[in-house]
Amino acid sequence: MKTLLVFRERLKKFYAQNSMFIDKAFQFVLALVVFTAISNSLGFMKSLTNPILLAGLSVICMFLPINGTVLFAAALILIQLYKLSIEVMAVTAAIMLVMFILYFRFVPKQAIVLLLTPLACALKIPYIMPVALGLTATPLSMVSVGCGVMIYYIIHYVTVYAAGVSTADEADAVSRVSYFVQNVLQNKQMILMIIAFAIVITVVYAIRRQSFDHSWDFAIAAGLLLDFVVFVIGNIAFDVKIDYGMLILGSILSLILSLILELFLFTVDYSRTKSVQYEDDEYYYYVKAVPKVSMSVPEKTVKRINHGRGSQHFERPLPEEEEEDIDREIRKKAGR
Amino acid sequence: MLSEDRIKIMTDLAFFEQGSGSRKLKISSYYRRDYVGIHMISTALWVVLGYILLLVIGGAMFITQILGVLTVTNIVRFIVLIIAGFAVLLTAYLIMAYTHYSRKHRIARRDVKKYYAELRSLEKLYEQEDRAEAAAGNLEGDQ
Repeated sequence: MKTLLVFRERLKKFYAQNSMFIDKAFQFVLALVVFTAISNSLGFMKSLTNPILLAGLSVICMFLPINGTVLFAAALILIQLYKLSIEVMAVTAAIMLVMFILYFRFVPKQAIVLLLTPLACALKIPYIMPVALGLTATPLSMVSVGCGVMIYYIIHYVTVYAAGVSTADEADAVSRVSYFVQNVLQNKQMILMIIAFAIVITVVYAIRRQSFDHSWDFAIAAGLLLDFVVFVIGNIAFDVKIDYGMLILGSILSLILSLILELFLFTVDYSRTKSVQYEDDEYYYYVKAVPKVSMSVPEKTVKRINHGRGSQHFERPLPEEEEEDIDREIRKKAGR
Repeated sequence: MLSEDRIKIMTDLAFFEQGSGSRKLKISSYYRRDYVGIHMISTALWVVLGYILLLVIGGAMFITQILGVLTVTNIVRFIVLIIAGFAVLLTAYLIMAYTHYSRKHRIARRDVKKYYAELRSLEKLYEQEDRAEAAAGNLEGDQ
């Protein structure tokens, strides 16, 4: 634990010294990963899958606020879908517009969740999102995660059923739109995931706000366990075909990531907890103060010891008289 | 001459000006009623657009079911339902917009007040320094 805390302090120090470059690098990497994932999943327009073009777009995103990346990603998705089918693009644009108009206009800072949730879903660790948001945000963020899950399932559906979507058996555009909307928005797996994540965010938030010891650890464990239980029940009740192996693996990876998050955001020493009680004219106060763990980074001192053959002797050799004096003192101390 | 107090205040002011300052100065230049009113109107317009989009998506989703039960009574029911849904959504959003933008205006006013107070302190520090320099100049002249 001590090593981890020292590592954390080193990392914090490093970030404080280079925050400007690290922030820009993070924005670049995030944009590049998101754009590449979009191009790999929806590669209908080949000219937009060029890695140099995507890297160029990511460089532009480096100098924009993070919501600029969200807009670029939305534009990329819509252009790719336009190549597949104009109806699919129109429906997706309408869904995205509703999300922006009715929610993200009020909480623009949460728009990054729209990028991270589909990314976590694609990496098979979606369970980290509700736990992380329950630990760091408010239950309202369940709407952001829900929107992110919806975006992921739109992309996923189009990827899997691209041929069916573009050349749907139905003849007219209205029927094609209806077919797409029904299949995307009535996807049981998506609805189950949105419900599970909403429950997990609320429970994690409620537990981590409690004052009992190790509340963050309990919140993480309860969140992931609840996630698992809801998915299993959903699988049995609605037959949504969930891969239990991936569910367990994803939950374990999410647990590791959640503990890393906890290390950086909430490290306290419960053994030094203090409780005080006092009162004023109106209230009695029961205050519990838990000290934060802070670890100073040990300074490294380099001591060079030169001995043996071939090593240079930099020390001044003692004169003979001084050497004799030292010998005499040693003998005196030894009682000889 | 470098003054530590002056540098601290100037750093605070620069953080504000180069951060959220310009936005907050603009917000605080409105009266609260005007600022909240403008945003409530724009929210209402956005809600109209959002609701139309929701209806289009919902309509596309249930088009076959809707076409199957299309009678005059059901059309009236649909219209009433659509209007009631719109009224509920609009009311909820207007309440939310009022709370959200009132809070935003209050915070902006508070921060701008703090900013002006720091500007005044800076001005006072400059005046004190000028007076001290003038006094020192007079003393040299007398000698």
